[in-house]
Amino acid sequence: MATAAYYIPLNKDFTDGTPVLIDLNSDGSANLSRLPTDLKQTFEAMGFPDIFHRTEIFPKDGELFIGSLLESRNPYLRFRASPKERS
Amino acid sequence: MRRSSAAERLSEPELIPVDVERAHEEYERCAETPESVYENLDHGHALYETISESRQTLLEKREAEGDEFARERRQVYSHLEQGKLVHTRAKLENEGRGVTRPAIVDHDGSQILAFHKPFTGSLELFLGSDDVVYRVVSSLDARGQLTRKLAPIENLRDVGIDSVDQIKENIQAAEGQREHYSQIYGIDAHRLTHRANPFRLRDIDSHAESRAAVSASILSELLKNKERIVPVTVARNDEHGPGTLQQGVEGEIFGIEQVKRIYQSGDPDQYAYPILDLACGQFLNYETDGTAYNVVGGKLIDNGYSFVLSMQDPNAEESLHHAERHYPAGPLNGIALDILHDFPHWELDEDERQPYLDLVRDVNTYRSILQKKLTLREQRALPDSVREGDAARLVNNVFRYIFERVDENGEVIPETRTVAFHEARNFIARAHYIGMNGRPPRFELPKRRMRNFRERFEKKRSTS
Repeated sequence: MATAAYYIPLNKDFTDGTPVLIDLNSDGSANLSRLPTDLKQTFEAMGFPDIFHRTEIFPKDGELFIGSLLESRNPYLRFRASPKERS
Repeated sequence: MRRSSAAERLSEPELIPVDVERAHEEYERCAETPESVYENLDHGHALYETISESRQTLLEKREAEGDEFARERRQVYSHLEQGKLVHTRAKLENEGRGVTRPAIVDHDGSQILAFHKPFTGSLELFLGSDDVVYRVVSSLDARGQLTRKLAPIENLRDVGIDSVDQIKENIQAAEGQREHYSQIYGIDAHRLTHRANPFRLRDIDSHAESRAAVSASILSELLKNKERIVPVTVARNDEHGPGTLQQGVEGEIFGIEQVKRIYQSGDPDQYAYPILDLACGQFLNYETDGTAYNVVGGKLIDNGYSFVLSMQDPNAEESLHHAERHYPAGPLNGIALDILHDFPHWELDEDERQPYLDLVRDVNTYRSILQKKLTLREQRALPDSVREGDAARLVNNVFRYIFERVDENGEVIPETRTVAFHEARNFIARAHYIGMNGRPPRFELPKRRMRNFRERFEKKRSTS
């Protein structure tokens, strides 16, 4: 179950910053409170495209939102399932 | 939504028996054969050589005309093509589709940041006949051996899918699309592997994503005002295997701060230009992944999901422009396009439209030469580049690179060449539309992901 993901900020020397946890609130929505404000507000206002790129998924979708982040991550959207990179 | 406890989840019985072996056989039947994977690698590489040579010539000509920007682009191209990847953590991960890694490219002592997307493996989803969704990991090892592993997905939400029905809808849509292509092009659309599959992910074997990303960069050279918005992207086949390198972009994603700036500035018209340029780029490339997260620092990055197949609206009126009667098979997913729809008065200036019209004129003139509609005297009056069809041949070859595939004997599948021809023509029609109207059309079609961005933004703002 994807109930948590980690946002990894990028340091200026392209190394990984301190992982930021995204987990679920008690109401089942995704808890973005630890994310940088800009990113948090962007997710809240615009959502995130689902993997078929046909609709948007919002933080209130909870698990589905976290699953989408992990599935669609890229070098600019640095999300991981665990704080440490798998080898 | 109720969350089940760990203990409850552990005790949940296995409802559906999963037969991975059978699913694997099913998958292999509809996937490309390993032989054609290698043939297509070679074929794609040969086409890439042709188009990168044309691109080189084009930029050299521009440079000779005093275009400083062309010189810079040419340098970045050769840097990325010939430089050495000195730092990369490129690898295929077991979860997530993101296989891209930042890399430093070193060439003659100077280093630039790039994003390396290796195409030595792919991740996709496959729905077995037992209604179980499998994650398929395909990888090409150092000896060129293709292996595929299937693993059932227990919770679809882990991969961002709500239900199996959602997948079935996509499969149905894809079937509908195949039928549509069979009718309009008179071809067997089951031989079109590219982007005509339910998940739009099963294309890595023939490197469709990589081809689209490279093509977006090359076609942007044809239109001067677009040069600034698609970062240089090249195809590479080195010790890391086949893949692409995209010039790194520094900047922020096109997030809420940028949107706020436009809508709350009191004078949104001052932002017309970056948005128009981005929107024209997204439309011209049929970008289906041009979300806020793929517009970084004012550039269109990650263009792997551009150049999807076109569909033709059978009920469209004849009076409509060719580009309006054809629409992308996937929904255009562009933040700039969304914003543009709220500002119907934003249009490109005459000067900005000219490169689009020039491209269309050059291509049409070359076509007239081929059809022997121009006399020798008329031909002699044309500039060399138009008479030799530089632009027309580049567009044609780029679309062959995107869509053309070969079978296991190395023979071009004729259906794929037909589609490449049609798509090249549609691309020129899109450029013509922008040249004539100064902005992309608005598609009002069923299943289009079309909504009023301003309304949504206002609603969100009032609730938060």
